[in-house]
Amino acid sequence: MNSTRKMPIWRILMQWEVILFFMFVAMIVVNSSLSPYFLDSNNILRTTFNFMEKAIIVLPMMFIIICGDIDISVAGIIALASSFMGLASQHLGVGTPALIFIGLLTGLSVGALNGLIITKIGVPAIAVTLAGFFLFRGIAYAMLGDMAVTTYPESFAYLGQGYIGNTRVPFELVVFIILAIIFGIVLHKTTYGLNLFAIGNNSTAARFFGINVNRIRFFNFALIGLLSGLASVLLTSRIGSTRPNIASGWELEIIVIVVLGGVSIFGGAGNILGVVISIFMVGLARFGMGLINVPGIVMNIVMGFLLLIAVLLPGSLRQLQSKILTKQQQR
Amino acid sequence: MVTNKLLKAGRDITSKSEPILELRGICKYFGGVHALEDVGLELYPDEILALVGDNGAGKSTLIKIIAGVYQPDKGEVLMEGKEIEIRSPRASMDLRIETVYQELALVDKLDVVENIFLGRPLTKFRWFVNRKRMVAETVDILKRLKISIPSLKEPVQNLSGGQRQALAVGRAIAWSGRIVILDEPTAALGVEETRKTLALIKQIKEQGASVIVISHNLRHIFEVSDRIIVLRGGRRVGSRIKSKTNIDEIVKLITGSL
Amino acid sequence: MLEKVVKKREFILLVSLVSLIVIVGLRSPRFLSIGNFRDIMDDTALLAMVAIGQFMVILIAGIDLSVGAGVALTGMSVALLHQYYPGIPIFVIVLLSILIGFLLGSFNGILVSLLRIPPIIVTLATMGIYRGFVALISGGRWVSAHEMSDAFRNLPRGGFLGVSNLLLVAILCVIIFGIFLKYTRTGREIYAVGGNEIASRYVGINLKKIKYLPFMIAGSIYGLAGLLWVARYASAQSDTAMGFELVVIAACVVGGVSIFGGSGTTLGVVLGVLFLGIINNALTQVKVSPFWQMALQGLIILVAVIVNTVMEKRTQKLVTKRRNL
Repeated sequence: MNSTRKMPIWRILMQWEVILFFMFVAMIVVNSSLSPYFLDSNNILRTTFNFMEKAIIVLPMMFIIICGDIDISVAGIIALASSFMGLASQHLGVGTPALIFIGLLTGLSVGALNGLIITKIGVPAIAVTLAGFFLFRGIAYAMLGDMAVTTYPESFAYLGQGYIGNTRVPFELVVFIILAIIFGIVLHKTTYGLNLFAIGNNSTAARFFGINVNRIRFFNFALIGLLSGLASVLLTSRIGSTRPNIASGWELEIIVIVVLGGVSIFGGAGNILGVVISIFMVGLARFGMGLINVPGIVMNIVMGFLLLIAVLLPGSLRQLQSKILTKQQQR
Repeated sequence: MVTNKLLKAGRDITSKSEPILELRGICKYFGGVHALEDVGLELYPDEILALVGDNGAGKSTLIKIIAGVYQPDKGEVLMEGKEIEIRSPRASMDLRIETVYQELALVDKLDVVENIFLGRPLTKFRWFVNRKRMVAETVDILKRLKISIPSLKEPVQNLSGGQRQALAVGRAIAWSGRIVILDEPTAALGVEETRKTLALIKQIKEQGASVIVISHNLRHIFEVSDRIIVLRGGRRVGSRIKSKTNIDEIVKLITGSL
Repeated sequence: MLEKVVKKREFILLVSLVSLIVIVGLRSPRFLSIGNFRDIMDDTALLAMVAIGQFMVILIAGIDLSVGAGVALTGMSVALLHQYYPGIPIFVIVLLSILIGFLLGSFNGILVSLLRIPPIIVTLATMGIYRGFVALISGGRWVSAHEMSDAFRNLPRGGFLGVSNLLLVAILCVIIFGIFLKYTRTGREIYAVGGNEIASRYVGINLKKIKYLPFMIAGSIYGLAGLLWVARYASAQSDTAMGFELVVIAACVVGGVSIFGGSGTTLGVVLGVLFLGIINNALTQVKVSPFWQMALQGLIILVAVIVNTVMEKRTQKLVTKRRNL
């Protein structure tokens, strides 16, 4: 069988991940020529602080979008979890382990609630999480008002600000790398991952062939809740304070990163490599722009066009590929 | 009453062996609609049974009950004489009943290997997909069934209609189902592809499985089947041994002009 | 049968709206005053007009996330124009705002209909692009009240017979596009495409046109809304109308519009808008902290989508299963 046949060079070069990688490299070259500080390794390591929390949510969002769903309540979950931690810290004076527990538990339960409404009642994910978008952050506002909580125990700061031992490697970065490896393995090597692709492609067929579609979808939403809780812990620790407007607008940027990474918004296609490259490309691009004093909001223009290209390019590449393929078969 | 008589007649003329699968008095209602009313079906070992009827006669509902997609409101299902319940598609698969659904037989963006093993991939260490063994087995299956597919890594959306149908049927055989159900296997196929698919259906029988096939094309039915059950308006109106009937009679049964 | 249920859904909404008004009115009589009624109307007018555009987009199974950014970009553009060239007559400014909105909406529409990129991606992208341009053209600066002429600022406030221009425009939008959707051939085609795109193509509906049109109309409306927004709040800034798109979508969803396209009514959308608007006003009237507003909105949306789903399921159960025989 030709399944083991080597892929021709042109097909490798036309993979979206490869194109993404070249764009990533180009971005680094341009940035480092604009600012001599950009390529400093300490600088780059330190800058990962700015986008690791987002990156952690990008991973389960990848699962959800591959499965054909979407979650726009993640930033709301961050706000809610952070508020609970803030109140617990301020009024009960609990320690770091309890704070972590509260953050994770809040995220998990809220995510599970989303999942329950989506799978048991059958409400579309976009509608449920749109409600969640308002509800979760709304509860945060209701609890905190215009107050900010800044009283966190000292040891809590390590999670979002600390480095591993004496190195220059941020703790957050390591957490993300471990998670990315686990998510990559689950997506590409396990039955769970395979089922995600099957559901995202053709959920009726998946159901008819004995895949428990709703259990997997529920699990995805519980998972993204849990990791949003984790992101909330890290973010709260990093900035050392909680306001109800914490992390606002993140949901859309997270979705942009996932789609930019080559995951089809209709579900059923995507891979971990593209998504990870996308995370770093967007994160470092924002950092680079910051170095040359381009405000973050202007960076949105670049992100927007990139997103359009990301969707247009693979489609036209695939058309080109299949044209060449049919020509080869005809020969 | 008429139904019962016909049912008995059908049983008498077939071989004396026990049916591998038997449905008795199956009723299925959707709201006020009676999709199936007191329908019986018996499938014997090594038999190709055709299920025919007009649109809305209840064919699809009946096979979806066997496939575990629907649960009957009344009636019983027996497998090798023992009463069973088929609560889910998974339960049906566990009973080694393989169903090839019209239209949604395959997941387009997944490749050949992943489609053959859809819903039950081979694993190692319980959770991990054993891709190597799956590829090896796929190669084996395709060779055995003489299905030629250019690349196993290709998403199945790039395959031709005939290749896709062969793959869908091949998957059912590969899982060595005791019972293979085919819903409109020749719909939307070209002449040559139809011929190959019909040959594949006969091959399933040779492999020692029983087949239930739904089709609108009576010529195809007469080419492959051993026995024909006719449904009309959610009721069973007849069962005929192929060699003792003709297209004319079946058409009359379907339209109710007999 | 279906018609009945759809009507029933709006009936439920209407009943809850009236009971809300009565309950709040009993606790705080000022809530029922004409003055307060006018406030509510003016507050919800912007939401209403933009929601009608969004409604059309959702009808074709699309979504427009660029609304907030579009409002901000048009608002900022005309505010800057007005600041640097105060001589431009107001009606030209009005036309310009519609033109800018038309261009922004058309860009979305062309990407969706000609290049066939999914609406959620297109408008996610243009949301970023338009928002970025707001910051780019303003250099991050605000345009504030004293940089606007009285004529400019009074644009939404003026009016006749006690009805403000703002409300007048909103009512006109609702009536015009309500009639357009319900009674014109193109309007019915919009429903048809959202209901079943493939079938619509087979009966010869021009899909390219029908997929472009709602985005174009939505854009033109939010262009005008952008002008009215900055004039009403007397300031244009980079984060004007930030997140407004989700409130607009929420209003449609509360109004019973199916997020999958093809079903929903103009009346439903108007009721959805009023519901969210009245809740906000009622909270301040019964002296509940305004910080509860967002959570309550979330809860309303949640209840609305659950009710919608359960009702839809009840009717569709019979229909789809009959089809499956």
